[in-house]
Amino acid sequence: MKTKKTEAGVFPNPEGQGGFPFFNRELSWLEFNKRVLGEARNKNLRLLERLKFLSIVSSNLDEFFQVRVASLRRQLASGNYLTDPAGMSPASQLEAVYREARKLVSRQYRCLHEEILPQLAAGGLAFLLPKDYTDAQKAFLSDFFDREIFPVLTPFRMRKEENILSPGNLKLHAAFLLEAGAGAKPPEREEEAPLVVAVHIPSVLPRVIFLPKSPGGRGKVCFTLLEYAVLENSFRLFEGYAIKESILFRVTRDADIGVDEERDEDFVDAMEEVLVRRENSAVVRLSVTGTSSALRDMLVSFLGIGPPEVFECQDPIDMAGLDPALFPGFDNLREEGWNPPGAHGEEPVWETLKQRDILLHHPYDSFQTVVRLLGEAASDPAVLALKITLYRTSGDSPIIQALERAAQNGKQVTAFMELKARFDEGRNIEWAQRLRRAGAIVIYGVAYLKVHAKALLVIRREKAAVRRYVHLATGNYNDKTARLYTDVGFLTSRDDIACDVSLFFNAVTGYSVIPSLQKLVMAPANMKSRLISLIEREAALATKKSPGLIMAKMNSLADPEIIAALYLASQKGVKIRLIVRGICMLVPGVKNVSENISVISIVDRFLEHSRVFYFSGAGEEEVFLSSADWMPRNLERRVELMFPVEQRDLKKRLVHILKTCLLDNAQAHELQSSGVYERRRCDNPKKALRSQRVFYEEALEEAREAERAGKKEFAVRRRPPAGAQK
Amino acid sequence: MTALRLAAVIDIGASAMRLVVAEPGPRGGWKQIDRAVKPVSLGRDVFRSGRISRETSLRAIGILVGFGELLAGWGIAPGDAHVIATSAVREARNRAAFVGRVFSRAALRIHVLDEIEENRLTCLAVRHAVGGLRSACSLIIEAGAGTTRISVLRGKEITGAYSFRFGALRMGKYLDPDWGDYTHLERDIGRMVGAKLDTESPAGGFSRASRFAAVGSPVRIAAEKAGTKTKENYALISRKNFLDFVAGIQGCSADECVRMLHITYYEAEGLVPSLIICKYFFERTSAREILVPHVSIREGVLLGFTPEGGAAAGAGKKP
Repeated sequence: MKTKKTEAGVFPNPEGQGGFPFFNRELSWLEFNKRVLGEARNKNLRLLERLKFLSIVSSNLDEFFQVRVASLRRQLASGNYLTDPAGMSPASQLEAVYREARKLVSRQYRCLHEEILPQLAAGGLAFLLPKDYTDAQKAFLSDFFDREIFPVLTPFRMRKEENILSPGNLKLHAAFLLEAGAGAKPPEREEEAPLVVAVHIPSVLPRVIFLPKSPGGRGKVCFTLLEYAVLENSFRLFEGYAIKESILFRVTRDADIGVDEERDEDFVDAMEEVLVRRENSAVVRLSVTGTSSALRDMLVSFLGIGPPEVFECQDPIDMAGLDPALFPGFDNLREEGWNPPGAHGEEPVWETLKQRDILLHHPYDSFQTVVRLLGEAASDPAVLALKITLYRTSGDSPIIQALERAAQNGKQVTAFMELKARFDEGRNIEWAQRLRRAGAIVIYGVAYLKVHAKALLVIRREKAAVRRYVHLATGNYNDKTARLYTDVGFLTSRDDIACDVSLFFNAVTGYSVIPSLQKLVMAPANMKSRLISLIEREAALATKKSPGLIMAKMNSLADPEIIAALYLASQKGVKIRLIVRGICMLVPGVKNVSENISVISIVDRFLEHSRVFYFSGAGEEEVFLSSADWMPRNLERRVELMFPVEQRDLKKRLVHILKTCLLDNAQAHELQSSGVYERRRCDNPKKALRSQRVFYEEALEEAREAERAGKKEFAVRRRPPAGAQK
Repeated sequence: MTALRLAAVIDIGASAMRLVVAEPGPRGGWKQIDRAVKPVSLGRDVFRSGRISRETSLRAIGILVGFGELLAGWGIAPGDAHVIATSAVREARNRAAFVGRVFSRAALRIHVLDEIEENRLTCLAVRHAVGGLRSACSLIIEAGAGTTRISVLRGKEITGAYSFRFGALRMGKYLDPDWGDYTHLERDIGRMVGAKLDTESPAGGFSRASRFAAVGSPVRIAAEKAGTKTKENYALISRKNFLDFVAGIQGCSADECVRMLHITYYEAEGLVPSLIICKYFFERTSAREILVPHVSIREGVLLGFTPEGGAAAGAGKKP
């Protein structure tokens, strides 16, 4: 197999780990972000949707630099020159990453300035920079500055030796090179010049400022951004000084700071310290406008970085905050709303679960079913206890509210709050304290591991038995992301699954050792070995007539041992169809290695997030859902759950989800052995299949069916009110 | 609505504390609905120094407080749980202080079983699981962490109960940080057991036993990996399969057992010495297979709450 440097910058390396080829993880991730940028450049989408994708590209890059690039830099700085499975050293990875990221950012700005902004302006929404302001707009901004902005600005001097108010992390700043005017106090020492002062652009104020319409502007809505209002009026901050040059900048720092796991007694304090340290950790990227090379060079010197870390950007340097929700109206510039139907059915979930399992495919099936289950459990006098794992939940979460209510109603509530969920640590600490105050038992984490499993257990004392109701899912207990991501949830009252979930909670709450489970599979205990067994079994059962089939959907595929098992299965003839949204280190379509493996990635309106795995088993089909991707961090450093779905109709539905995704020819990209992703195209609109639209329309049809059924007969209430029950 | 009664049993052993929560089963008896196990070094302390150390005592109490929390989730008050303790607590010189501390901190009242009671409860559980041992002479063994208990039955009657002060934990080689060499383990067992086997066992020794039942997590693992038949309440391992299985893991460390057998680390600890002890006695019977009931002494305690078991002496209050 040839190794070559491709346009995509990835290096399939035949000398990779174990002699198998692998793509580099970081470059593969950048390829994913390119696909997101591809949606911003997709002329079939409306403008505000395209702007949303541009914004996502930026926020993705922020996280990438804070975590992945920071990790590579630390590896290099510590003298660890271990190559990755693709054979790349940390230095060559860093070099490639900075180079490819720069190209990506450049394309991002070209898209913004050459396509999106001009077309938005033509559509009636114009972004103005200071050079474009009319006199009326300047006057408006001046007044706005005096009233709203000036009171919350705190300029600080920037000097290399001092770090009193460092520029923090991801905070937008303006920096000014000042010159003392007549009447100003001269510098005390020669070395104090030049005078560089910075000011943080306040994040407490709205970033988008709508301006008065300009005469002759044909009714266009004009807006500018807060940082430009500051720049335009900054002279008021420095009486007696002239502003020689100015620049906008934003520092990205290492956020991958580990907590001291030895600090059991004050672990919450230790986590809070991590948040503080993050504000002053090593700089991995400096984004600046190109308006002052002198200030840029000074910043580079103050921050102790080098040219590779500097990204000179056009305006605005921070696209991450340009959420289309900030621009009310403009329906003509937005994609039609997809509003999946709400949860239907008034019967308590318990009654349904006694008869059958329930599968929820979010966002097409509403997350309200889960919220309702928790709400009912909180008030139901028969409920004895609730146990739940929380990784990322929403602000003002109805989940937390239900748990609080349950605790206040005397149920035993055990909430496992993963404080190490990166970028949600502060919020999780608050939720933990709130639940504790309500009387819940709060577990703050497991040492050295992150609990990433999504599980809920409700114990209910019923007439004939004590029954357990379980919810397991691929996504978090977050009603907001449940509307934006695709995920699958599974509700059941099956004894075998409920028993395993009980054992799982006993382990993570410290009551018991890591258990052997009958139905569930847990990482880091045995999920990797089980997955490899399933892949190997598929290979062992493969015949020429019946070669076997693995279909798997996940967010990332990066575990070398799993990839090696897939290669070996492919060599035995097993057909392997993978839907991997983001990172994929597996090289498909290589002769005698992976010619039976194909990989697609779907990037569409909803973030693909579900994890579904199918193994044909020579007729003994098995379908699993999981909280884990096939990555070392999931399989070795996190507590995850994988669980079978056995009810026939639900299994069928999951297979339908996988097959529909695999048939997507509108939003799917196929990974080539060169590392390039080629977008599938369908020239005949009648044969275009967009999987997310298919699922959405199926959900609508099901809702219509339910409505029609409601018109045929009455849904009679036989259950007496709670107080009247004996 | 009649309140559904749940039962809880906590078993304080030499190497671990175990909890079982059960509800009335569909055909009488009890159906396990929850369980927990936490390792604790009670045996290690007592078999070395004769006393439970303060550190172990605090850990044990912490575990029991956690068990109390778990039980509260089932609506079971500490006073309603039946708590038994076996060899390690029984032999501890500071047993009374330990029992008192547990009561004051965890509100759990411990009933320390004597050896006969231990045997009786295990036999009760085994007979219930297998529907009675229809054999002229049967032998039930449990190679625990601290003690190996053997009951000899003729029909339904227990004709002999033996308790040997060796178990997976107590054997000196297990206590050694290097896993040690198990080839001497059987010789050591033979030395300790030898006289008893000849003089105190029923006429002819154990060799007359044609049914051999073994209880405990190690032998359940062996049944899962090498068993040939599985019934609802018990599994069977042929003589050859069992002996081959033990031979296959005899020289393995806990890590190796975890990797080879895909079991948890907790399960792997003590696996090899327990099975060697079982093998030693099994080879001295004429049984052609090992019967492995899915029960423990805890099920025996639970049975004490049903009409079948009657009010077992010292089994504590009924739910």
